[in-house]
Amino acid sequence: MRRKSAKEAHQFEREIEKDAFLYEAMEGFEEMMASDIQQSLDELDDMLDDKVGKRFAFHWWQAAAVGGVVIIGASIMLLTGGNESPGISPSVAEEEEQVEEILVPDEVVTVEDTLNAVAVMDESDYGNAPQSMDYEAEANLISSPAEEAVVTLSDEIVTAGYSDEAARSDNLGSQAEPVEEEIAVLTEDLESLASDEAPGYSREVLEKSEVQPSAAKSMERRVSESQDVLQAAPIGGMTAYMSYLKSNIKTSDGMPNGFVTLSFEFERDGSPKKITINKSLCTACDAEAIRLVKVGPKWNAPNRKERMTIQVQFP
Amino acid sequence: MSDNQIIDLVNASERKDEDLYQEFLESRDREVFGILFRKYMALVFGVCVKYLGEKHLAQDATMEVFEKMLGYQPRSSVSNFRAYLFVIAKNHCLMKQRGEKVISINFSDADMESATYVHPIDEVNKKEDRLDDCLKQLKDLQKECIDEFYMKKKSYSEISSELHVTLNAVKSHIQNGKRNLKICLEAA
Repeated sequence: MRRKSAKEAHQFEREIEKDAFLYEAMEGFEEMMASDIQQSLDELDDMLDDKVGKRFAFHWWQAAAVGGVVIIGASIMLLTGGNESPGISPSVAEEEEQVEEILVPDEVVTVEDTLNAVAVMDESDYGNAPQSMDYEAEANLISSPAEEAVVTLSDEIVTAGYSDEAARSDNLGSQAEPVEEEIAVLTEDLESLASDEAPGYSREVLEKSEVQPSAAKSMERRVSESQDVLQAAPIGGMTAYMSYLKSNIKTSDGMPNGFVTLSFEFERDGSPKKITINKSLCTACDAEAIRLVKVGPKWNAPNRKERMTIQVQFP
Repeated sequence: MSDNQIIDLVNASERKDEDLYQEFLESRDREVFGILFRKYMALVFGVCVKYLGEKHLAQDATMEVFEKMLGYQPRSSVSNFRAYLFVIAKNHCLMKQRGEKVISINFSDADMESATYVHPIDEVNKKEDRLDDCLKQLKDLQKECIDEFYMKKKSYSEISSELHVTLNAVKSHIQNGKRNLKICLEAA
């Protein structure tokens, strides 16, 4: 997205001056970084979903629409005697894709784009990825020309925030080491997500397993990029966290050698919640691992519902 | 849910806010209000950040506004939902910022008026004669910034470098200038 010309900037500023609501909202956003704004809005979207009980309603629609598409697909196949001409199958696939998009636009944009944003997260690309996120998410808001302004202003915020990001990425150089560890753990994490059978969360699983292929790709790029601003990480860094675990672990005689694998989500303040054991070592070991995670350092988690998996080594 | 209700929900984004709100007031259906609220949720959030200063507080406040409005019955019919929402959100955040216990939604007609107010200088086709007189009475920097912005149609950034003041200062001068203009215009 190219920078605005002075004339465009002026036009845009005039729109905001006219509109008190928009003006004050912009004043609030000026204080925040673009990625923060995007993340907050995504979280708010989820929070509203919870309050509106939306999950169940969409579940209904999704089932109906997918059922409808299956019927259409089946009848087309019957009509063409099972030999689909190349022209038909792409459009059926497209329709399916479209239907899914229409029904779950918010989820697909946020989860997938968050991971893609991580993948392309180097300085030269910073201007691109989050902006496409902004466009999609903000498009829902556009109801007047003044509100279209919200979309383009975030460009300014992005470019303004750019120098902040450049400074921060220097500090993250020290985190380059644990990235590989994290990647191994996170790929495990995504695999376990795909196999999750929790009924209430089936919609989430659907999107997350779709996201896997691109996530696997983005994982590879991350090794070379070594930037993990948007992935969940303990405050203080993964290396420090690993040493925390090592120095604070309370072993007792009966405990075998090995490790416990556990996963968890995050509270708003970054403390782990919904801790579950993926791979047990012994009852006492599991309990100790859970204790360590619970009382340990909090995490920076951009997507609080994305489960983080770690291993605790015994002894 | 009937077919018509489903079609209504799907088309909700195209329907007028006031109609949607009216429908909500009759049915008290969370989903309906959810659609309406979601449209402006980012704006509500931005305003909350402005007054509360912190992201999580602002998120909580945004959700509080939603919850509150679920139960609220306006005294008279709402002719401009967007402005109405603005007033509610702003008042909620102001009270929260002051640490006041936020129990009920209360706002005066004056609040609504200020939310819908458009400054004469921002209006496109209206030429306010006394505006020129009042402009002359403005303090130097305020006068200059307003002149550059409205007459010469410069952007904040251009004005900032021309007058050698910060971007925020430009915005302040414009805001303060407008306020003084308003006072002057209303006094005459």
